[in-house]
Amino acid sequence: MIYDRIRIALGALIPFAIGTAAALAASSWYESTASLLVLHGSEYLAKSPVSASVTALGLEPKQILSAEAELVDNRNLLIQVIAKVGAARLYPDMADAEQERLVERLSSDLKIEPVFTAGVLRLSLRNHDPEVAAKTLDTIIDLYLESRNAAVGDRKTASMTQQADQMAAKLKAAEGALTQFSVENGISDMAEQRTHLLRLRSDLTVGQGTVQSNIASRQTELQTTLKQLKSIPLNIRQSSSSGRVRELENAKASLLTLELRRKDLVTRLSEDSEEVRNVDLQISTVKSFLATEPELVHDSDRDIRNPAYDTAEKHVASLDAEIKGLEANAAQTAKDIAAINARISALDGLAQDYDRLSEAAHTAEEPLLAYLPKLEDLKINEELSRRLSSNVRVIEAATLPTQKQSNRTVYLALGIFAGVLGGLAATFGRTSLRQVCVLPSEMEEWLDLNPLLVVGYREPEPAP
Amino acid sequence: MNYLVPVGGRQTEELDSRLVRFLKPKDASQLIHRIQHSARDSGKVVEFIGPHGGEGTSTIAREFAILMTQRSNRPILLLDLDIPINGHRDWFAENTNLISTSIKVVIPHGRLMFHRVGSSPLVISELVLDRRGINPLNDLIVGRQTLDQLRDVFSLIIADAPPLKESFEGVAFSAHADATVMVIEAEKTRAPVAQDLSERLKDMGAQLVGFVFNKRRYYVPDYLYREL
Repeated sequence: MIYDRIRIALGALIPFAIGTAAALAASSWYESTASLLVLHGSEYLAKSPVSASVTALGLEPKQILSAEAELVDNRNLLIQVIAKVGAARLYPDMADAEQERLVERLSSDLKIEPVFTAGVLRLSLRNHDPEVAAKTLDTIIDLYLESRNAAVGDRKTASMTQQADQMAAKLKAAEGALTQFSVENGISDMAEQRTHLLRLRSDLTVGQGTVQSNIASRQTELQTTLKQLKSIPLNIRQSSSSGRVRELENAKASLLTLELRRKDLVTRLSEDSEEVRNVDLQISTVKSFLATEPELVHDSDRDIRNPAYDTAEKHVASLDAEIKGLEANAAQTAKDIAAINARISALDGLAQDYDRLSEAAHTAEEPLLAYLPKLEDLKINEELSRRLSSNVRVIEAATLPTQKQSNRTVYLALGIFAGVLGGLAATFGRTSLRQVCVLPSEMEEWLDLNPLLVVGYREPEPAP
Repeated sequence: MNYLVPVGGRQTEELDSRLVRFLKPKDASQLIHRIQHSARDSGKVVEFIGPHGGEGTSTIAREFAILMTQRSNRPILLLDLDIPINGHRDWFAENTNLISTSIKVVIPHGRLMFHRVGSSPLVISELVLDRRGINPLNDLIVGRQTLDQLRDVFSLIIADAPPLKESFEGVAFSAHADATVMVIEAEKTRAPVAQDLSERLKDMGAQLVGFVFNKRRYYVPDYLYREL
């Protein structure tokens, strides 16, 4: 009996241990789910090749759901999904694996459960990362709908889209070449840039003329002032009646200053200008004052420095400095004009290439601009038509799973179940192999004899 | 055979019920009724035989004999054919008070002696051999004369036969028994072996009335079993 117990225990424990080990080693995952409603669309009706009439032949709801399930679990579609999501993101542990293995893994992780009574396809995808699970399932649904539309829908849009894509690529290339040329040569907008430079050069030329004119007038004024300076005595005699004398001297100095100012104004303004007239009025006032005053008798012989001379001398220095500044300004302006001329010459040299590239971009853009509205209209029409005829609706987009799942409980339960089965199998296996009987009825069958009495087992009495 | 002296004439007492561990009084009642229902002749000679040994044949025969004494005060013989072990004599000597009787059967190469178990009507046999290595069982039953004489003395003769594996004498004796009962051990006795014994007994002309299914284990708990 001990032998039997060990056998039965092994029969039970080995499957249980395997189940427990599998439960401990089982990995966990997140499962994202989505649902698609599949209606009986017109594409499932058999159409007559010669007329638009629809015959009665069509697919059964079960066949429709099965067909849609096949479209979802399509190998090419799964390859596109892997390429779009990225193998490294989808299965980091299989990043370098062959494409076929990745497809097999994705196919095994993707479960499609048709609910025939409701016409619903329940999709679920498991992955170690909840976000990847949801994104991948979304991608599967998107690509499935796209491929489905492509398979069921009109191919006119596809060919037009392809043409538009080609035109767009051409335009992109032309614009790229133009941009590269512009960047390399520092051109933003050739025409505007050129106009700006011409305007700048014109302004500088005008400015330079004004400066030259100013220089000439200042030089004239300087010559005049120098001549006056020579005629003005350096010192003057001061009388004892100093207050009276000072008034007269000041009046003469003011007269000189006013006359110099008038000359300066006349070089720039006309004789009729208000400022010149004001200065003339002041000069006449000072002159009338001097004429009314009698000649002074000097009480003493003391000489002092003539203020008129000092004023004239200061004015000479000021004019000299101003002339030098104007000359420097004129020189800088001349340099700027030369630089602008050089830039304009360079732009003139690049203009031919720039115009050629601009023309190419324009030539590429024109047909695309004419083509796109038509394509857009066609797409809208097709989309409306497709929506009207399409029989697939996404009733639940891929959910972001929050609950981690694993087969641990299942494996453990299977281990326990297999353990019980193993134990029973060991028991009955041993019994049947040894051809012994547990029940009296079994022996009755073997012997074709009646059991007269059944005596229960009792443990032997322990030895005294 | 020299002479047979009947047992009786004295007050009999029941044996201590603690001597019986495995059978219950109702088991003995059920067994004797079913045996006698299918037995031939008077059904006085009942043989218990097992195929292999260790099935509990001797225990069943002994306890059956003890319980049968509680049903009647008529003499009952437990004929120990498992020669030359004499296991019953030793067991009863150890557990009860054995009183030698005057019944004696002289056979070639030895003699068959009888002992009364206490003051009960149970008598057990003991074979005393003159020479080792000779089985006198065949001589004992030849011509059925001795057995017929024993039939006259005892109301029931319970023969504990040796298993087939050890001796064929038990199978040979079955031809003279009124009923033969096989003892099968649950989960131990292989069906083909039991079948072989059954066929041999039938070939020998035994009145095979059935089998006792011994040491049966109940894997379902008792309370549940009662509900079932």
